Amino acid sequence: MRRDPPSDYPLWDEDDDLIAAVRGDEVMRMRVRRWGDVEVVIGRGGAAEVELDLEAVAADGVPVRRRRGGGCAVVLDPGNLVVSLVAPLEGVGGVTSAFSACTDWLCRGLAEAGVPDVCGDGVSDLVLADRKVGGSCIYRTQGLVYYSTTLLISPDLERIERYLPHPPREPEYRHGRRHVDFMGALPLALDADAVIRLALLLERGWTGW
Amino acid sequence: MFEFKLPDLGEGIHEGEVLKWYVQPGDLIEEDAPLVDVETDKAAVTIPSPRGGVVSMTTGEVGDVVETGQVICVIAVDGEAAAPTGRAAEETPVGLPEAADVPAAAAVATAPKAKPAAAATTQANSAVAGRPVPAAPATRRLAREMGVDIHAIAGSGPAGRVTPDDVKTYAAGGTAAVAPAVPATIPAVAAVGADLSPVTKMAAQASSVIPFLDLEPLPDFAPQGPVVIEPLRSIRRKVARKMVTSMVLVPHVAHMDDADVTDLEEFRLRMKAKREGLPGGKLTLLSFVIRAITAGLRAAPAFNASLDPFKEEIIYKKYYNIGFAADTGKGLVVPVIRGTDIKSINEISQEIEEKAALAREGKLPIEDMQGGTFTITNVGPLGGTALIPTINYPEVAILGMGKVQEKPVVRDGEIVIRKILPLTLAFDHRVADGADAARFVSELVRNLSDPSLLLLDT
Repeated sequence: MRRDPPSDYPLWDEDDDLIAAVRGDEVMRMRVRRWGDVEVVIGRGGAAEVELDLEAVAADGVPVRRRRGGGCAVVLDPGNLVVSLVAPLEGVGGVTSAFSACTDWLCRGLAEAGVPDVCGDGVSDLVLADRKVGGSCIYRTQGLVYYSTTLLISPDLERIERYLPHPPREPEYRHGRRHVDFMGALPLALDADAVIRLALLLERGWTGW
Repeated sequence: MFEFKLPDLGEGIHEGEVLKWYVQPGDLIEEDAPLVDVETDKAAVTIPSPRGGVVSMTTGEVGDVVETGQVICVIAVDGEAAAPTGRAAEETPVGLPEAADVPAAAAVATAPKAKPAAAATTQANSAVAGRPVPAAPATRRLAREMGVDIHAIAGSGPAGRVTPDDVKTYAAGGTAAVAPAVPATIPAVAAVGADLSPVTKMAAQASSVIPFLDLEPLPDFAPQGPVVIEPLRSIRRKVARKMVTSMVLVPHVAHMDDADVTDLEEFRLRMKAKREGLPGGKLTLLSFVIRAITAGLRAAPAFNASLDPFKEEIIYKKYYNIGFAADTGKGLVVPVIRGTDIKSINEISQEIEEKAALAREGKLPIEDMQGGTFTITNVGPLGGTALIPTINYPEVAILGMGKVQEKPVVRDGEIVIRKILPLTLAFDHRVADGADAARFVSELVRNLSDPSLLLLDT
């Protein structure tokens, strides 16, 4: 009997410090970071051989890691902002509500940052004018929720198209569109001032579950 | 034996895929230790063991899908002998009622009516010593380190949750923490803590600031008959937010009038026949109305403005970007024609065609839906005699166009048949008054009744 998921890729553990801190004092932590390198991250139970063109990824020497949350593979690049939130929440349920609360929180923050028309669609996508501009996942464990989202600011869509075959499952609003026709970009700046401003807006805007 | 069923992980989530087991049959597991990882759409959940004991049986291998409520693990507790692997579920009695398995899971999914009073909590915890007490792992550790039986403590946190302060208070004086008793009303619960779903909290907050507003959770309609429940998503959700914001924030007033567009329609159809097949050749009535509205806005700047309620300022815009509501099949979008004061009717018509097509295909760029200063909604092609539109906040006014119909009217003492376009201007009464609207609409009606006036203004 196989007892474990494939441990073929190292864990994407960039926010483990936040998780540890929240476990300790039960105080919400969040982080906004501009991603520095190109990297592919697959979901906790994702099958790399299905979700990735492994040859294309390997040819470019791009690392692959596995995140704590679920969902399909994503390509991180310097055109992305990664927003992470870890907050205490009792039990292990409430995943749907947690997604909804986090999506609303991000939409409000983005509106304050000057992008008022972002809304949620699919399970947890952020959508602007029918284009996906953010993908999210949750890792839920006893007493806390770890939510992570990738905001597309100036994504390398051509690279995404090369690395990611059409995903094995898709939200209804995708309508079979290719990545380049389905994904969009948030009209936000990526400089340090803009990232800090967004982080402050999000921190101020968190009202809890 | 304790049968552990896959708990409810969230509204609408009925199953999950097993990702990893932390134990095998025969292993000893502590209460709250990780038991199994399960993945639902986009979420991975590490489920802790609700009881300590010896794992007798697990259900579902990695990659298998298990359903909510399905027994996924059987644990022999407190010295019980572990049943032979794979047979425990059929031969052993159920340990605890299902509702007690995951006491905290409902903290977000459903809001409690009220926080329990201290006495009730104490009694509940004492009565079920051995059952998991709602408390964070850090709090449990603290209790263990301080030699305190967590079951004896009355939790002062949401839903009776034991907090670190409760543990310290109990250890210091042997007195259970006291949770304040509050009435079983939503606003009261909202005032004391975060143990509410976002929706209930929002309703409670709204109820507390708007007198007489009585927002209560909807009743369960299912007993009345079959229902289908869909989440509010995408464009529908955005429209909902916009409309509620507008209707709550803006005091709407509607002014109505009829425009005699007989001559305009005769002119339009004649020009349309000549321009058939050319860009902008559809030459819809809307393009003429946009032109007429722009002329009106230049004369009445209050309707091309925005009111900033925080700064208490009116911002008059010296540019004219007219949005038109388009039904895309997937929802309502409002493409914007920019600079309508410097564009010909033909150019406006061409842009309407292009942007409406892009909107229907879902390919309209976001910048083409932003920056509007005034909106027109035209339900005429769909029928109806009149409408009262909702202002596209933060604009100040919106024009609703009804269906052009031939109607008998009196002209020079004679009853004649004319083509009549019903118009409704909804406007923000904070910025403009009824007399302003009457003048604005009268001028609009005059311009639409005489196409030469529109052409002169081009």
